[in-house]
Amino acid sequence: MKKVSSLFFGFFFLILFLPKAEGITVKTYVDKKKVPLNDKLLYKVEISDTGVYKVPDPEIQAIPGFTIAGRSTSSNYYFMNPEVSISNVYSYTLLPQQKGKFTIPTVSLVIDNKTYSSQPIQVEVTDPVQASPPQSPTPRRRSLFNQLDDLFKDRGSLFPREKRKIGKDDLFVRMEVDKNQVVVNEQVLLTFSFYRAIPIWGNPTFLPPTPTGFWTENIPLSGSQKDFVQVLNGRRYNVSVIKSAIFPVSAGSILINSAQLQVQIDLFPDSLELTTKPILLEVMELPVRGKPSGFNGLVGRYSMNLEVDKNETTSDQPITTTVTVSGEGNIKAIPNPVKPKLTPFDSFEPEISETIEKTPNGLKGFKKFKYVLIPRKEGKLEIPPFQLSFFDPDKGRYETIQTKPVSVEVAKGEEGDQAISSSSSKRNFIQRLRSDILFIKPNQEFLTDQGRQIYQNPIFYLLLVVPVILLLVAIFILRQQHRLSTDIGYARGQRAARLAKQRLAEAKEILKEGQSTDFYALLDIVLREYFADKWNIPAPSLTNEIIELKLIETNGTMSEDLIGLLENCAYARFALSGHTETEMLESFKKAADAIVQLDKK
Amino acid sequence: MRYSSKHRWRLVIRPLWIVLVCLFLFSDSSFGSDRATAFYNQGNEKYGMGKFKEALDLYKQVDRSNAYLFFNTGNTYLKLGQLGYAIVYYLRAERLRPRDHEITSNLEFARLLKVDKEIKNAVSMLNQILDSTFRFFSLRELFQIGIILYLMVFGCAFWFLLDTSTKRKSTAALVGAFILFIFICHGTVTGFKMHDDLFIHHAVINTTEVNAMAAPDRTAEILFSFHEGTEVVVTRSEKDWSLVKLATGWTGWVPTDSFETV
Repeated sequence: MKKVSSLFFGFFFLILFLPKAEGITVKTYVDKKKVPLNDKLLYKVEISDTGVYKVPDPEIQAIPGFTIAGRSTSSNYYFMNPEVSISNVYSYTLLPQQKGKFTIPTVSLVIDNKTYSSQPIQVEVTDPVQASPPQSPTPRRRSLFNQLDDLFKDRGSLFPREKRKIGKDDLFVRMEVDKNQVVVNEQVLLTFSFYRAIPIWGNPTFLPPTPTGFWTENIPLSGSQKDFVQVLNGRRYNVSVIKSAIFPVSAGSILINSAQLQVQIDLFPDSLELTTKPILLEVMELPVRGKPSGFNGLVGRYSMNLEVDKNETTSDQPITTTVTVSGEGNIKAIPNPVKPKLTPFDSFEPEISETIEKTPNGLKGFKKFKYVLIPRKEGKLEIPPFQLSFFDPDKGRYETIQTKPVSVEVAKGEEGDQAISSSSSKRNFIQRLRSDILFIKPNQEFLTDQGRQIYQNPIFYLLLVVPVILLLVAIFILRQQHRLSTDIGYARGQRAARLAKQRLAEAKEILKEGQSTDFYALLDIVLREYFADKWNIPAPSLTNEIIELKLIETNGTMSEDLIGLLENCAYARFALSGHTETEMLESFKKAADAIVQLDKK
Repeated sequence: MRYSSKHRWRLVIRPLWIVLVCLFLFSDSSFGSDRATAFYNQGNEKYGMGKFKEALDLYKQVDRSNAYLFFNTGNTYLKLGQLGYAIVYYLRAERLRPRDHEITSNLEFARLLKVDKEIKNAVSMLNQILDSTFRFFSLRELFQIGIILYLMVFGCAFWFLLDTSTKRKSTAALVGAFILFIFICHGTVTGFKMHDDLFIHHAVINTTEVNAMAAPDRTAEILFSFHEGTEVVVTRSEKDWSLVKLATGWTGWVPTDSFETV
């Protein structure tokens, strides 16, 4: 009684908080459904969200099959923005008396003149469980854990002596879809729930399913949508939910494979793996019958409207037309609505923006298409309706929606070139809009033909080839000159015949004058210089013997004649008596022939 | 004595070159009759009076390729409401005079009148640079520049050969190499432009609306439809049908008489 009255006083303090009569719930649960005969069962009654109302004591007197060994109360404060809710938990420790199946009866409470009842709970009492032998090999030594265990004996083990088996009911996962039969692109809500009735260590690792052939959008959840408490089959579970909206891309029987959760219990290093059953989804093709011509694969429920930023404008000012498509479904997949014939306007590609809201019931939002329209003429112009077709899976048929036609008044704009900028568009739409094209080109004195291409002109090829030829010629000439200036023997050799001929010509003149000594002197020089040049030997060192040898080398037959001639010349030079013209002529001829002959080589 | 031969050809060849080069670079045409000029001028008069049909008939009788003629013909087609032909003629004019602002301006205007709006594809920086170099010169001008560069390279070669000083020789070699490099770059651009002008068949649709089919057959599936003034590239032609490609990359078969090649 004392405890109850203190609770009473506690409640008066809670008057500060807002009362919520409707929120009151009464939940009852146990910590296990199957209890061994020599174990104890914890039974709790939770009354939540009472606000300021007086909460009576459940006053549980007797429960068939059990004796009530102890009871305690506690208050839990739940912080859920912006309110605080308080729940009171009455705990009873029950000791089973005999084996069998028993029902813990309902608990009824009257709060604020209303009766609240709980559900009855079925429990089963099983055979007593043997206490397992102590872990350490020396039974005498009591480990720290065991000592601590004795300390906490009454409160229930902190570190259980026997390794508690994790029952199927203690932890499980569930994966569900909101519908099993859908059409292509229809939204499916995939919900993964993790139920736990026993405490776990740390954060579990979630491996989501990876179904192929879906467009997936994760739905972020918060607060009570994400984590809440649920009583199921007489047990109290903490539930965590992960939700996503998936859209199948193609038709067929598609399997959503298992999701996995890896959980750590207590201090055991191994983690427990919980998997969901895979889900088979039947995805059907969109019906062919009734498919409108402008249909582009959009599935969901939508509406569309059109707005203009002004109803009156001038012929050089643009109008921004915004078509908004809003609704539920895969907002990203909304295609451009079918544009009507906008012939009285110049129109451009629209600027598209989308806003997507991810709610626990799926995706919804809107997509805006901003068209900039520039009127091409004056007067009352009409923007015809825009159309959009989609398939409504709930109604099971195609729908085509339209915007209402809008009229705009276009007055005469200013004349001349004007720079127009579209203020609402991010892109640079500065256009010089004239009302007409520029005038034609002027008359010509002579209309040239610009069509003939250069490569059809033969001079082109000439100009290509000529420099190459000239370059080759130049290279050759330069090489020649270079050789002449560096290679003396070569130079002399080239020069020999030419010089000889020049000198012969001179000799001829002397011959005519009848100067025999001079003539023979010159002839001698001619021949010697010629040989010297030809064979690249310095003239003074050229003896008759060398000449003879060389001549035999090059031309056997001539050597004797030429040596004779040379000796003749030598004599004749210093001879006192003159020679006749015929004699001189003969010598001349011999010399000339010899040179010609030798030069041939 | 030694340089006499060299001097000789230098004196002869140089002026000959200059004459040849000038003659052929700056001569635009063979001198034909003046009838064509008369037709052109008369056509202009008819246009000025607003008699566009007669102007067009006169312009079409001029058997010459001339930028001004094409431009005026384009204007006339536009006045007569034939957008497709107008764009073709503007494009032809632009090929001959790429930097003419009036031609570019009217072409832009005509393109705005199309029913289908142009989609500007994102183009890379390199493509943009190539594109503007492309468009800046006409093919003829590119060739003219090419010839000049070519001759300059040879000029440097001769300079290199004939100059006695080694320092000037190396300068000659350097300058020559540099000009050669520019020549090669230039050659590449010219090559591209030649390819585009001669081998890529640009065309413009001249019927109000045309359907692109999956196969050259009237009963084949319609892939998409588009309108007069759209610029296409003709990739194949088989009698009555041709396979065209749009700027967006879409291809389809259209009747050959639904477009006019630039």
